[in-house]
Amino acid sequence: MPARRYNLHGVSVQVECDGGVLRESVEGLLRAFANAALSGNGDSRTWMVFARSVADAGELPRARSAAAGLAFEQPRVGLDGSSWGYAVWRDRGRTIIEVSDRGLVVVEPERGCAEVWAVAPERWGAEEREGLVFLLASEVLRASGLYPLHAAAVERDGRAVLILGSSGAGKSTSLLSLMRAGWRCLSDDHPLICDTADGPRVLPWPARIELTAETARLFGGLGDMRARRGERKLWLYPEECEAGVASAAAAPALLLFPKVVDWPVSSVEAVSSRFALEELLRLGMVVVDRKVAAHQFSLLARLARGAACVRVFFGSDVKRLPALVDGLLHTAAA
Amino acid sequence: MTGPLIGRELRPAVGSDALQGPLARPGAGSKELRALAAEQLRMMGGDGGGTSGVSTDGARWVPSAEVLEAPVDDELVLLDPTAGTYFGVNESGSAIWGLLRRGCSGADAATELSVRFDVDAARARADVDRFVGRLASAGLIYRCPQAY
Repeated sequence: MPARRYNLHGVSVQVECDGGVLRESVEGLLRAFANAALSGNGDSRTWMVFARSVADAGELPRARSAAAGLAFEQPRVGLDGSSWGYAVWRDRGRTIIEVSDRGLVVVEPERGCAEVWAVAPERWGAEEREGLVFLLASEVLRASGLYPLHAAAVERDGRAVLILGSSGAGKSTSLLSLMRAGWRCLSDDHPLICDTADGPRVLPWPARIELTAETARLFGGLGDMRARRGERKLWLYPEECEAGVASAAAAPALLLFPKVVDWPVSSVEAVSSRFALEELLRLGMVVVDRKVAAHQFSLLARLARGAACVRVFFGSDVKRLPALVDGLLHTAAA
Repeated sequence: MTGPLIGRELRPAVGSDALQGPLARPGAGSKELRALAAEQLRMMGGDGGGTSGVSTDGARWVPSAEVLEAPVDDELVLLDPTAGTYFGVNESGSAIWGLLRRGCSGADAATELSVRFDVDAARARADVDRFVGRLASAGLIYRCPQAY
């Protein structure tokens, strides 16, 4: 099994896959980190990651010991309407995620080792496979002090704007609107938040930008949009947009909480840091290991305190968003 | 990609107004919340008699060691990692939480609140009782078995 090495902001990850479809998913998710120079904000350890396919659930290894304790169960996985459930166990320093009868993830921070097993992944949709790999990657990153947040994010002049919301809230539309105005992409769906001596910073995790056909038509001129088999959305890589991709950490300046409304003109209202923090918890907080959770909670609180927080009601003039954002940043700076 | 962010879906304890503080309108809160509070009171040996608060007569309350807290401006967000719940607390609620954490009894907290927020003592007492009841029913604080 040939190994591939990635550098996720200083976290070195060496991945071995035993199957083509899983390798494709890993490369789709981590492509921005392939061959990257080894420096950054992570904790500089090297992780060994193994991705394996099995033919049926009976072949999944028994990962849990008698000492394992159930951390929590989630009735479904993902925000895409899939029906996977999962259970998260803590077992002598390991985190074990049992994903229905579909797969298994085991993360051992002390050994710097993580494994994922997928049951017949060739029968899954590409997004489902990527979802399972994302479970593993996000757990590895969290153990290394880098926290994924369910948001879109852009950067200009070292400042970041985060657009936070569940699926359908208008994140990708906002992202494209801002990129058209010269903002660079940090991430379409899951930027990373890290702690630095200067406070929280937003790190890029650029993968695909996924759009509905309606959004693609609204902006037009997006070039060669692709579609994955059986999936409704179109996609493109962020570097294919003119503004391109941000390459370094950015200071969070503005947190936008979008809501699409049937109004001709968009409007904004300031929200409290408390509201912002509650939303950040809903969209990015994870509680598996208490020590890690305490750090993430503190980091998100400082993120909410340090940035301007605004709710945006998107009307049909979404292309005006860049001007709206400029105005908000100007006001915040004043 | 709409990737799953592994973890339980954290939720507000009982709606976004869960712990709106003691100066919120009297009687706010759902039927469920009242039932929970009454049950908590019953378990603690309180009267439970249809109120959404507890009597704070001399009682001291200890914040759970599990609870994480983050002040934001004059407000507060509490996270209970064990239950997977979080709580937004407004300015006056935040003040009460701080007083309880410093070891004040509910009665002492009410006295302090009536001065700080310029409300009459009976109103402050009722609001503190209600707020403490909500914290207790959510498992964020526990009644100290003996005064100290």
